[in-house]
Amino acid sequence: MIKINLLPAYVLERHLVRRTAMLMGAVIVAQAVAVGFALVQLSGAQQEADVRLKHWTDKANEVSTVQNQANTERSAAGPFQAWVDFVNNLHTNNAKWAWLYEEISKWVDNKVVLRTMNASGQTVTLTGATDSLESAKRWYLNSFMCYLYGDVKLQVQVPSWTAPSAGQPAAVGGGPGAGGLRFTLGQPGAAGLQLGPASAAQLTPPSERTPVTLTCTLKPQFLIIPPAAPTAGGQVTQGVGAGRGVPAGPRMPVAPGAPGAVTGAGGPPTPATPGGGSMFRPRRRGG
Amino acid sequence: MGLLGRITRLHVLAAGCVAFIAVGVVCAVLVFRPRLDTLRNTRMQVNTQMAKAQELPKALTNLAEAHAALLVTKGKFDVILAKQPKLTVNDANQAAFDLWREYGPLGTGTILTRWFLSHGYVVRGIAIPAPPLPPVQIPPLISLPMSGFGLTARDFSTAMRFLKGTADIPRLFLITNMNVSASGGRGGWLDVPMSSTVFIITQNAVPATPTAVAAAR
Repeated sequence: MIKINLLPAYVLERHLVRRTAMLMGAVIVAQAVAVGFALVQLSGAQQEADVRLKHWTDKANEVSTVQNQANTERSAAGPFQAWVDFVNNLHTNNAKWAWLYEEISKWVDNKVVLRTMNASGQTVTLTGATDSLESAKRWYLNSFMCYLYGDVKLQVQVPSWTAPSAGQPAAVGGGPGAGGLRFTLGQPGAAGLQLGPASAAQLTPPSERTPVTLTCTLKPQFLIIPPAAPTAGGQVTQGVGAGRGVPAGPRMPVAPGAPGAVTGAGGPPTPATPGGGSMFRPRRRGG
Repeated sequence: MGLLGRITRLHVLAAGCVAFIAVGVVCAVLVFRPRLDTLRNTRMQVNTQMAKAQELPKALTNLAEAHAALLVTKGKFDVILAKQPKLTVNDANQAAFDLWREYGPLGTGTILTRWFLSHGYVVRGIAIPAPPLPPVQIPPLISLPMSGFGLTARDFSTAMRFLKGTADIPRLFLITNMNVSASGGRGGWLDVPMSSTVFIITQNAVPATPTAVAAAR
């Protein structure tokens, strides 16, 4: 059987147009439904994220609280620590004086008999006497190699000598006001050795006939700076008895020959041998 | 036939596609994009907070260490305070009498003298200056300068032993300057004058703030 379409073409076209429009409408509706579904999903994810955010924010706040508490405790320990440090530094300061004087005494020559040791600020003054100029020279040169000193000056009080005039004894002695050795030689056959104005010279042993004064300049790192005292809040404000003007405190003791010690030609410097003439010679362990 | 009569399938199809694309673009720009940005930000915040929250064990450890350090430091400070006279500013009247007593014959001067004698040191110049009158305000650190103080020692090692042992003196003792001189020739005595200061820490040296007190517990 043959089917013959007798309808006009526009009828078919209208039909197709209508179906196409319906199809497109369905597509648009499906798109709208998909958009709605996606929105619902998105909202769910957002809600879940919000819940997780609240949970972890609470945990993070707990961490912040703990951290703040730790910081509070650290800052609360500050004032106590300042006082503890002050007291410790105070004791250390006193021990540094002992260390400094002991180190100074180690570099005193055997033939030197010290009378005074004075470390004031950056200046160390040592006065004493030796048996000869040679001993004084040796002490002087040895002190140049001492790691404590930046500069060394030596003063030796050499007695003056006056030629004897006719009938008068020869006189050897210090100048006016020198206060050093002063004695008068007597003529043979006379009263022998006659003491002059400075009769104490007779009592001076031979090992102390040459008065010497060694003036040294301490290196800044060996200056002793008193510790600073905290205030009521435990804050450090100013040094007790400060005013020496050197910010750095003294270093820990450095042994001669160790890094930091000044070395001279011919090997590392060595302190004077203990057991010499110095009255200040410290006792050594096992010696 | 009107205008509708001239619309073909292609026209409908094109219009549908245009509408489809337009709806998609509008939804993407106006609806999805802001919400996705919000969601992304929220998730980033979650990650940040999660990373911070994972520091809780470390923070607790730090807290325990800080607490232990505070207790140790406060313990050291209490040991120092225990060696100090009980001078407190909580009661002004009591503080005044306590301070005067400390300056008086039963106070620091006598305590130091007895200690030096009991340890075999020959000293001179333990002079406590006159107390402030009236002590309106007691500072946290009372300093008593003793410029005339000096030690007379048989030998150099005794003087050095004194310097090294000042931590045992029942008051805080600071030496700011000193020198050594010999007297009497060989076998004589050493004179060691010192510029020194005695310190007294009052019981209120560290103000008792609530946080410090709470933290120290």
